[in-house]
Amino acid sequence: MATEAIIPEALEAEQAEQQARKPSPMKAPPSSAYKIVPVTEMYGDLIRKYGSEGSYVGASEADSPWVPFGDNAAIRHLAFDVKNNVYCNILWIKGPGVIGTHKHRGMVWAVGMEGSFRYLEYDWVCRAGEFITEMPGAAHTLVTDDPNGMKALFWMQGANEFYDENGNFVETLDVWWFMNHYETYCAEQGLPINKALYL
Amino acid sequence: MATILEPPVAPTERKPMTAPPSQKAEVVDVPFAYRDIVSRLSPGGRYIDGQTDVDSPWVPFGEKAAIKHLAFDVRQGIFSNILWIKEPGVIGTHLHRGTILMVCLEGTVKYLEYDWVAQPHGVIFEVPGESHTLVTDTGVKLFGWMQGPIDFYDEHGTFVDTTDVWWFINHYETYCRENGIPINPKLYL
Repeated sequence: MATEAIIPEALEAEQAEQQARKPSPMKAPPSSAYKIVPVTEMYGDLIRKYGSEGSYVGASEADSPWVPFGDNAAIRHLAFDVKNNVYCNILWIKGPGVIGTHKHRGMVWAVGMEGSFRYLEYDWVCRAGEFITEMPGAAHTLVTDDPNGMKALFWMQGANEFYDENGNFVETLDVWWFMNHYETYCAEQGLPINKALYL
Repeated sequence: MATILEPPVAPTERKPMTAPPSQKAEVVDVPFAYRDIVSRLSPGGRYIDGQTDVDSPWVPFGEKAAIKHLAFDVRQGIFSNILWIKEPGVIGTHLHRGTILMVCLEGTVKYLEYDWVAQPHGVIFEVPGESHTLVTDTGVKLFGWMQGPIDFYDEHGTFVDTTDVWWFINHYETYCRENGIPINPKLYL
């Protein structure tokens, strides 16, 4: 290059400086100390006042029961966030079966936990440990062909419109339906409401 | 590779709504099965006045600028405010980790990195990963709806501080405390 012929030393120095200024990405967690490390926090009092520590929901039915969803399925509610219309739950279909055609107005992600399920509209099958997303505008029909059915964790945002087998709109389900599903069952069974589910 | 199979044809074609279906200036009772849960658990919407200091004061941000805080959402790291730069000035180089929407209310504003100058009613959209340097040659009022941390750098490119919803709450509450102004709970979404 022409510039090298003119001022190679200056160019080399500039390149070295640029290299020195270029931040290098972290390659691993910078601490492996098995201890709580105090972190500088200027606004800790505000975080404690207005923030939340997050939630833990254990695996037992004492933390959240299986609530029937039709004859062949049940839902275990894990979280409700009314500010964002977000709700999280485990869907369990106990044997081969169908969750009828529904349309999403928000985004969904899910992880298969047991068995398998698929949608009649797509060519994949979601099995344990596998990950799927569903996007606003998608309408589809969930089926499980597994003799033992399926379990999957769903994190969902926004509205789901459910249709009957003739394509007639029946109801829109969102965080309010899921809360009502949980609270109605708890009231009927005399179970206490678990506040940890309400983010 | 996932493919989407051909969907069956819908039984009836629906036509898109072309205008709001009711013109009546009256409250229409909307059927909704979960209204009791909404009234019990929803934080509710609200109105914040922007013309006066009744709901939220102008809080100094350096010597030439002030911020009128409008909303804080600690769940999503969202903060909304009006930034007022009272005369030609600069908000130094900063890098966004979240998404920003701004509307120019008065005056003009630009970034040294881009070729446009925002005019009143113009909309500015900023996305994670962008760093830029805000300059107004006239003074400006900007409404902003902002999500996520903003990393501020000094003029040598040395990182100084990250501002996020907690910084903005602290900015508002510190000023209110110093000036004997009551905290407005409406600002906390």
